[in-house]
Amino acid sequence: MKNLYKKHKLLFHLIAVLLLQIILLSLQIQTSKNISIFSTAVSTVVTPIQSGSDFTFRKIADTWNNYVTFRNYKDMYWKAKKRIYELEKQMVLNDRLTKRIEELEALLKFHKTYNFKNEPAILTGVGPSSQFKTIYVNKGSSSGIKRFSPVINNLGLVGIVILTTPITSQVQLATDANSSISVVTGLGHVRGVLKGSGNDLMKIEFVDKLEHVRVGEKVYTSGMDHIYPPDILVGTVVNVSLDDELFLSITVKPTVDFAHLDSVLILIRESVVPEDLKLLEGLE
Amino acid sequence: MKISRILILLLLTIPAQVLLLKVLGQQFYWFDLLLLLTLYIAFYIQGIPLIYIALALGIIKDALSGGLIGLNGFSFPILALVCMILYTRLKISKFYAQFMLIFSLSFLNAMIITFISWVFGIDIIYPSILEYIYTGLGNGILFVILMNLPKIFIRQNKLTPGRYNVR
Repeated sequence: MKNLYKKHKLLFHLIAVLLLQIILLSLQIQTSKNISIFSTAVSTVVTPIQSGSDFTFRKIADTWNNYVTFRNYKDMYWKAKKRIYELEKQMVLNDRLTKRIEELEALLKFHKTYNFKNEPAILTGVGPSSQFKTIYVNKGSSSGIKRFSPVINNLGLVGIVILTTPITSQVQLATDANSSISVVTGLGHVRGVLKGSGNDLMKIEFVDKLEHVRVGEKVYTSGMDHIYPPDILVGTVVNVSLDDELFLSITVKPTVDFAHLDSVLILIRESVVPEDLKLLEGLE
Repeated sequence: MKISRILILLLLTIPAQVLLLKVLGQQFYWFDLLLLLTLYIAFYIQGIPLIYIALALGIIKDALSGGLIGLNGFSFPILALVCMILYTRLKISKFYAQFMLIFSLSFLNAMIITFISWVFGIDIIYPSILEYIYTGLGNGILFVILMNLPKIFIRQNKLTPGRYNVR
């Protein structure tokens, strides 16, 4: 340092003098805002460097922030995706629950409209004959089950109670060969009698050939037989053909999956109308 | 060059400068006698003393001008040093060379003051390029006259004082 000073003594002195003058000037001059001119001068020189540095650091900071934001978005994306998956799962569950609630509401509405008492029952056995389609349930006369009580499940009509014991009941399925149900088609409101055939399909009899019945139409109970309440879904028309010169041959596939029956709902009429009673006696 | 001689020259220069401006009018600030004195001293004194003498002269000029102290105090040491370097390196002796040197340094002085004023935001009326040229011309001509008038005078009277001995 000493050598450097000796070597450039003149330059050192010149710089010292110049700096002294700058300080002298800055001490004398004040701007209108009482800011030292020296500060202003320094700012004038320093500001571009500062601006450049600021710009560079801001760009770096922006890039870094963008990167961090991108990382955050990535995390958010995966969280959102997981959440969507969970919500979809929940939605499916909700759909099921909604469907179940709708079914229960329909049953409740049914109960209120037709003044039926519901008795849930569980399938305990299936009839041994292949021609006669019957099942056994775990509710009997002790539970208030009466003969000719309609039996349904959430999909539609199952059948009718044909025999009761104190603790069990025998139910004749709609597909049984002896089953006869007064029905009506959904679109054309064509009335007829649905008979079981002993297999998985049923047939509607006594429908005039001039009637228009289409394949795919839903078939409901009409309530005309005074046994089954009206508007219970029974099945879907799968085939329509001319039986003879007078009537149509309509094949119906039941909506209830009889092979996988598990639980049913037995509808117990709370007050039996005399006309119905007579009819029931006649059936007996 | 002795200090006493410098002081005498200074004592002559200060009233001359004031009187010159008074006689010619303040618009004739092309003649900067203190600057010329500084440059003249730079012909004879070298090194660190020159810087401080130039500084002193600069501050005196600032004080006389009634402006801010430090403007000429800043520029005079630079000019003196440049002048010294050029004078010693280039061995300037011809009239036109002296004129060119003074012209250039006067021009440089005006530019330094303008630059300093601009950097410090001092409210001055910035001179035009033409005024820079006038200042340079005025100072150059005056310097050549003052520098060589004694030589001519001495030659005519066959005097050989000190440094100005041409033999």
